Amino acid sequence: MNLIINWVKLNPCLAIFWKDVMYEIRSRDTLVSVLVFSLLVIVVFNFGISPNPKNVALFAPGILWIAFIFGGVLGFTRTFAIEKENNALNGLLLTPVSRDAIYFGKVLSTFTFMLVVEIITFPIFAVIYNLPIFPPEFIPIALLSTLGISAVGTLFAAMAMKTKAREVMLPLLFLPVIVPVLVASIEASTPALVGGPWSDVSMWLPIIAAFDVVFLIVCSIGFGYVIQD
Amino acid sequence: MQIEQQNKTSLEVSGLTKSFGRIRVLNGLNLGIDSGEVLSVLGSNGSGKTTLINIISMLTKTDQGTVHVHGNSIDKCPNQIRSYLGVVAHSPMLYSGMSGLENLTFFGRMFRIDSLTERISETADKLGVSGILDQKVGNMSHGMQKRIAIARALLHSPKLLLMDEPESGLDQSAVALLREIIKDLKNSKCAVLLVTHSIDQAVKLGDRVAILSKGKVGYEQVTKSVDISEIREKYFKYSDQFTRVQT
Repeated sequence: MNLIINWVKLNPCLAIFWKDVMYEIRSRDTLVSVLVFSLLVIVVFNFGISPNPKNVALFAPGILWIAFIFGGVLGFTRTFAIEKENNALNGLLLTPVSRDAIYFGKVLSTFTFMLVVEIITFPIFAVIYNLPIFPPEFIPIALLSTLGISAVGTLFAAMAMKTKAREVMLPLLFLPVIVPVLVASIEASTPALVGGPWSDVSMWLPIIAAFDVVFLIVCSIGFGYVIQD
Repeated sequence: MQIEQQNKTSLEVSGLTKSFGRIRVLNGLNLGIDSGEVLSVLGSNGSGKTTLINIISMLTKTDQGTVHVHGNSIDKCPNQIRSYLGVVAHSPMLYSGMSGLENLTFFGRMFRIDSLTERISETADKLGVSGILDQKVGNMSHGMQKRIAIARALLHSPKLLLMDEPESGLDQSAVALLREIIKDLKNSKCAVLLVTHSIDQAVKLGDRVAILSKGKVGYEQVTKSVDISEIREKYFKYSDQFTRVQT
């Protein structure tokens, strides 16, 4: 176990992830705010559309992913806020670590934070909308979609951090780009949540995975340019 | 790519030009520092001192010109060169929610320092921060944050140390400590680029003094052969001029 922990700490990408996790465990700023925000979105939509057995399959997947994505936007801003404080990011950029490693370290952090939020939010969402609490078909959708969202969100959070109106810039840049993943996630989640056939779910997974690969490659290249003045 | 560590010239900057919008901050600046040499850089506000440090440390891209560290261009092997650079900037560049020890450990790991615990303890002792390492950086005074920032810059035994007004926020004992550290670095053949507003510090610590003006080195002198009043006179002469060039 110690060997694994040491390896995690020595790998630059994982060291950044470890630092973000430690930071979050201590402050709980990001997780709590993202969690509360995501739950609020779910509850507000519940009052707005009054779901019933007839319309729940139509609305619920969309509401769930909108809650995750809006929460994610909040989380990305917060993850980079700790780097902005005291110019700590410059300290990180002065280390002999490739910009890719910094990018992937931050993606891993945001991916993990989002997954934790999803794990807590989903059962509450399922109870409110009267859906199955643990549909196993939803797991691959959540993992792949969250990876894509984190890949894009990390790049645009770094970009927005350099601007004055970062709270406005991030959603403006991020939301249009993430639409393909959002659409595929909602389409795949509908049969997963209402007990549809696995083939209806699995047909969307390669599409989400393909977006993930493209986003990870393009965003890791873009990150190096974005992060430098 | 192998860095020529034996190269006598530690830093060579040539034809450096940088503009922000229509303002040209650096305008074909040339300078060099040998291993074990301290170059003090003086200049009025906005003369491009911080920009120069940011370009050498690869935080800012240059418009034109080249920077070589130990004979190697920063464009060709940036990560190897980063491992040779230590940077003390205006801001501490530390995580305020983490303790001094956690900060030093994190940055030490990023530099892959062997025997990190011993190295942190040795550097913290040298800077007189051993007793406050478990405090959150955000709860420390500005001076203590600066000391931790200096410790972070020295942790990996840099070959070239870039210091941007390191004495700001430090008390007199810390400034004296800083002088000792710079002397030690000189003895260990580390080159130091010291940006300062203090003419006394520049002359006391530097082997050479350079004054930036109009985006270039307007005046350069070996400190041994010059009187401090002459440097002061030159400083005010060059500082009085409008130092930025409108493009």
